[in-house]
Amino acid sequence: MTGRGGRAVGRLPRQGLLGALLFAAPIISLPAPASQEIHLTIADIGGPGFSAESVSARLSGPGLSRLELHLGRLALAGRAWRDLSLACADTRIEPSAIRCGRGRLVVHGKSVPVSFAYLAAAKKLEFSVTPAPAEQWRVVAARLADGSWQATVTINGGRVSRLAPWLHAQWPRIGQGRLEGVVKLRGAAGGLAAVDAAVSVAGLAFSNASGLHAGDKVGGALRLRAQRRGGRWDWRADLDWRKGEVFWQPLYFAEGGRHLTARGSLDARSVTLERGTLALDGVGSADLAGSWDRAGGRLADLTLSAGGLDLGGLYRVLLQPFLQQTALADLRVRGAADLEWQYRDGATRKLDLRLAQADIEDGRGRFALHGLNASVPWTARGPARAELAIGGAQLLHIPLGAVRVPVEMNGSSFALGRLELPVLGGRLTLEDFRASLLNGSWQWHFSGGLTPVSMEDFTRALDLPVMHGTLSGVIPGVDYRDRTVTVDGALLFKVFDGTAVVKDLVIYDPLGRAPRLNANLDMRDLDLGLLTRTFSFGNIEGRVDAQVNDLALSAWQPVRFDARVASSAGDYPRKISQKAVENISALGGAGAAAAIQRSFLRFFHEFRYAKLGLSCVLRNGVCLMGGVERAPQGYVIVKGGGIPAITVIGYNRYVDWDELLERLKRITQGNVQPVVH
Amino acid sequence: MNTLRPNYPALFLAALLSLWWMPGAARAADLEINTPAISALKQSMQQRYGQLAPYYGNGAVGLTRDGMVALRDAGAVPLAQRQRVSALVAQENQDRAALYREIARANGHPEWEAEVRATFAQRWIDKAAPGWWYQGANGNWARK
Repeated sequence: MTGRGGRAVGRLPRQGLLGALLFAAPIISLPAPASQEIHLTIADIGGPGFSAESVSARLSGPGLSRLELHLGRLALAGRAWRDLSLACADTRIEPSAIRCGRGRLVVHGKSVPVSFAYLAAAKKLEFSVTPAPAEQWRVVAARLADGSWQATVTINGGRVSRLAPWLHAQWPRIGQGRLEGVVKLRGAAGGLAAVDAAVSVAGLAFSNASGLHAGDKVGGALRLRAQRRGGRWDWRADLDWRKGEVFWQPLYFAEGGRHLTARGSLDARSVTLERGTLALDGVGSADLAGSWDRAGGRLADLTLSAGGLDLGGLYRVLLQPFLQQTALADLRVRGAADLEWQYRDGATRKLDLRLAQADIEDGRGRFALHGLNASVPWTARGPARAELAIGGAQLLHIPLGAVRVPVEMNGSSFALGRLELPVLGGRLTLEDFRASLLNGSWQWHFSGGLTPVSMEDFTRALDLPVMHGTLSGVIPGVDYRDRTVTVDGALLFKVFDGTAVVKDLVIYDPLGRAPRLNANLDMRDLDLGLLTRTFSFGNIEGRVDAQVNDLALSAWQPVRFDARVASSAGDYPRKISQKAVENISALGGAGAAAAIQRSFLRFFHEFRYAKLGLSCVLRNGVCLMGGVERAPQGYVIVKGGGIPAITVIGYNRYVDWDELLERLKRITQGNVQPVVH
Repeated sequence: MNTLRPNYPALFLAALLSLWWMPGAARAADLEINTPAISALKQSMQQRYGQLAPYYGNGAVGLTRDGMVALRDAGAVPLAQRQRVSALVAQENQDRAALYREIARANGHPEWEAEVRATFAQRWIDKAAPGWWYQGANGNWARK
């Protein structure tokens, strides 16, 4: 303790009273005469962890029982107060002690009851503050023979908000909360040397100004033991958070058990976690080690390893909140995960992930993986190989079968060799699949092919009118970047015994909120027999070519195209059933079908035709219809040829697209007879 | 008892409709253009509106100057709801971003997206109900 510039009045040694209060120096031993007054002023005074300036004390009254102490400034553990005064009307100065039972401490205009006792022989100070009913902070401090000191702070119903002056200005503000417990401090001339705290908190509420970091009714217990070794502290902590909810954007922890045991060290530069175990109810537990850079205010490194995590809980509690802006924002996840994560200098160095029997389904039905077993030993640098075994999957409603996927990884690049995915009875072959993560967004590329898949299954999967036959094809280079899929060259499919070429295919944001597709389609020699049987449309024998130019889909619905279907060139049987004629007529509204019913033509079930065709230019929800050639006030859809021949003429040039789809649906579902007037 | 309270859902729908029927904004961009994606987004936003409305009303959520929404005062949301409202805001912003992009694309001019967004941003604020919070050109929040 140092005292400077003191001026003692009366017989009290210069440091006596303050020394007693601050338990630093010997006490006076002389009882004072009844009427005597003692004044003491000290410019400043200090000790381990505290300093006081402009100190003045006055003892007066009968037996010097009235104490008035004023501190111009008091600094304690790094925080300071101005103008503190302490008054005690029942001060007792005994040969070996000074006691005050009913004192009042005034800070910032607030007066709180205090009591204290200084026991000279034991060099022990007991100080107790009762700032509110049912709230007491009691300090018992003593100086030991070897010059060291110890203090025990006992807190009963202590308001957590009292600690506000010691909390970091950036931290959330404490609203409510009560503390119970004991904090033991030990120190020597060099300052604080050991801390042993066992405290519990109940009903803690805190929030920052924006409300993005907040907690309510938080209850739990903390056991902390720390010892200083030179410039370093070694600590052990056990934190048991049992009650209450916390929102720490974007994470939310509802009522439930969370437990952290940890040990580590602390120095001027960093906080080191040598070993810790974190347990979260509903997720699992993880072993942790790492360090926090105090100067930089950032996580310097962290190693986390966990086994048998509940993947569903992990996703819900810790992953989903960070994935709100991605296609993974709304998943249903089940399964178990083992995880080993190494993070250093702002980046993941190693991520070893193992999944067992995981199911991952998109809440909006765009994709799903079932029975996923995976081992992904990823490192930031150097090659590694991941093994994925997928029991089944679904992508944009197309089911994919079981497959094993070996992935060659090299930093942020991923590659597959040749991969065959079972799809709808056929196989989708992926060649040379390469993906990379560049500036936070994915790019990938592949080429491949499709061995015949069932059109029936394919169309059912896409909720299209059920078609028969098979679909096979060649997929040239497919690229994905900037959320856009583009295809180099033409996709070539075999369908309805003919060929279909898809050119200029671009899909924007395929998994986004507003997927958009642009393409040109050219189909040749489609077998109308297969096509019409499919649509339960009535039978048409023959072949057609179809072009769909400037096709644009928005959210997978057509919004624009120039489409034309017409008989293929060449020599082949051309026959059309009466039912098909009626249906074609019904597509364009009422009209030609009526003629059949009224005429002798109704005796024929089948007619011959020379050519047929239909065109639709779709703009703004309206189809501008056309046929194979013009007709008076209409267009020819089926042009007769041979015997018996029939010509079908359409008269409606503008047909609402939705209405047309509705009619087609009615017809192909076969549950409504064509309307004949 | 609440006969004098503004009918916010109706105001919102009116705002939404007026946005679609707004003539001649963003150069020649047709903001009333409709596509299945726009319909789907519109429907999604209208459904979400019911959940967000109380938070527009009490100032928890405000309209930003770039045509999005923001959780500007999370303290006005009960703690247990904050993550949900925060997620609603993120989803609403995804829809809005997709909407502006889709309108620009549907007009055949993806490069118009920024202008479409700017026009919408101003209109959302113009049509906001009294008491709602919005972000001024200087970035400060103000109450309508």
